[in-house]
Amino acid sequence: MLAALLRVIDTLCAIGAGVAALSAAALALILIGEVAVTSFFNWSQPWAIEYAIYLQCFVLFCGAGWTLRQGGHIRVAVLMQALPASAARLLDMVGTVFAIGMIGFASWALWQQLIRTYGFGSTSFYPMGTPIWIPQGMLTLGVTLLLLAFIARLLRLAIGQPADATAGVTGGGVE
Amino acid sequence: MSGPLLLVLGMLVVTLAGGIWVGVALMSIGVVALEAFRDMRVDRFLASDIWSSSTAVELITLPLFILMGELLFHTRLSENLFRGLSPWTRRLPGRLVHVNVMGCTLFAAVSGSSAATTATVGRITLQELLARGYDKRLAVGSLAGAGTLGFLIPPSIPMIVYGVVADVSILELFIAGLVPGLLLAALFMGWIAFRAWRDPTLVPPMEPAIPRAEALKALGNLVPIVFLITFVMGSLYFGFASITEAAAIGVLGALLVALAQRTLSWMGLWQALLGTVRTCSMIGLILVGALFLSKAMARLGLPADVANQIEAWGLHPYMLIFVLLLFYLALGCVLDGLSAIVMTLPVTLPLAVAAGFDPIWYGVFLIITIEMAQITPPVGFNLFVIQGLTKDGIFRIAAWAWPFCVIMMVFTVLITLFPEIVTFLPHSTRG
Repeated sequence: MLAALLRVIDTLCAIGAGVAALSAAALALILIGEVAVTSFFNWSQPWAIEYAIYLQCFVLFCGAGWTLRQGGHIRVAVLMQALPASAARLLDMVGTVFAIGMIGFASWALWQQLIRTYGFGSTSFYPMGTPIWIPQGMLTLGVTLLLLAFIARLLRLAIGQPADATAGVTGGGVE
Repeated sequence: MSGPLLLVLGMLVVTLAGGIWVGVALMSIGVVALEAFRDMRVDRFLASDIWSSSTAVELITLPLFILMGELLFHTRLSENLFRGLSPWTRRLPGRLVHVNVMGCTLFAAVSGSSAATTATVGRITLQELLARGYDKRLAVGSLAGAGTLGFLIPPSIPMIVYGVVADVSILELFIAGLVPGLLLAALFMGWIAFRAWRDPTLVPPMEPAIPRAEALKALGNLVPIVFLITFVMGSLYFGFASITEAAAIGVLGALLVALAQRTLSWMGLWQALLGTVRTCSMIGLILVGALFLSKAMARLGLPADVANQIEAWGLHPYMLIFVLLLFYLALGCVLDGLSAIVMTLPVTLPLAVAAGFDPIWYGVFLIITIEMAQITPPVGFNLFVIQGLTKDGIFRIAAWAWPFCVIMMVFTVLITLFPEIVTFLPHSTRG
């Protein structure tokens, strides 16, 4: 039961990362295309920047849950490394509960905003007038995935499984 | 000290020391401070702020430059750099050790990350230097130091983040980083030459000379990187492209180099995209948290409070910069540079500006302090990268890198006394 739940959350987070990766590719393609058509044909696409910004938002947040599982979000681990293993795990659990509270509040706030945006039928101020709820919905899903990933992390810590899929900071890490 | 300020500082120390994820910690402090001291709908403010921060048009170059770096990791640029540069260092005291600095300087001009610069250049140079019997302390230390140039020489990921948080032109920051970056590289090379001249045992016996014709032929290895630099940064400096266009051209250029060298598989491309997602998610969470906290602090009037308090001490501007330098050095030991910048900027930037420093200058100053943070233990990303390459302990690597850290400190004194080193170029392009 618990294993199945963890598997579902991992899969959802991995799908989110896939969406974010495809968004990164689409973002690059749109902007490369935009450079090509504006410099050679002087023919700018009115939608290019608007859609690029939404894709950027997906790249930043749709993979957030998966990144947590990969141990990719930054935290100060000095104290945790200095503590004995059992105390470190306890501190890790307290921190994870704290994060669930914060990201839970943020997800709830984003869902409320999404419902309001949908109700008002708000559209973007760019030429395309995109209904805002579509990209906002993706952002909200992304942050909700992060919440789920924190919950999965808490469950893993509680049953004594390793919480990060990859150990610590790996080489080639880019900041 | 006022109530809100005590709360913010107290929560910062407790949450960060407790190992709360930096972005989550910053966001939570903003929420708690607003809930406690302001009568407002914090949930609505938070949601709209997350939305507007993550769709800020200034951030668009961030995923592009990160993707460019990820793609370049899948090329043979590091081998190219070593082969192209090594025949030309024979006459310099310290010989091949200079390839570390020259390679990092060139790679920094196409990469926005210092960890990526260190990893890409180091995976070839360290192996070659150690195999030929160069002194390990000098080889590893110079790589750690020179790798940090990835932040200062444009493009630069932390400069994009600084530009967004401080609301200054990212293009001007990029242009401002160029001269200090090259000067710092020259200082590093000067130190290597000095060390090798004082202690010739650091360098192995001279190898047989390479014929001029072959050395010239080796320069051909530098074609891909020179192509990229002219393609991307050239179009930026000479005003053919906006910064967004330059970033898109950079991704295209990196893709072309990888295709020409036949080093990129579909799997590699997917890995590069996922790597981009990972880095963007990491930066995105911190950035959204920091931007929210800075707006919350502004609503509580905290930056002005702190600024007034510190102004009341009547510090000389140089003294202020010195205090800030010490502050960021201490912070850099336990925090990564990016987090250190975004969480302190709302308070320290107004201070620096009030003391008469240009926000562009202050950005470059901060970038140099976080370069030092990259090589100060126990938390320093370049140390982790080099540990991955050599398996030495991070405190040992940090000790080898220490002289280069000192050079950077001296350099901050230099740019404080002569701020034109930083501001001359961007101001001249303002017209």
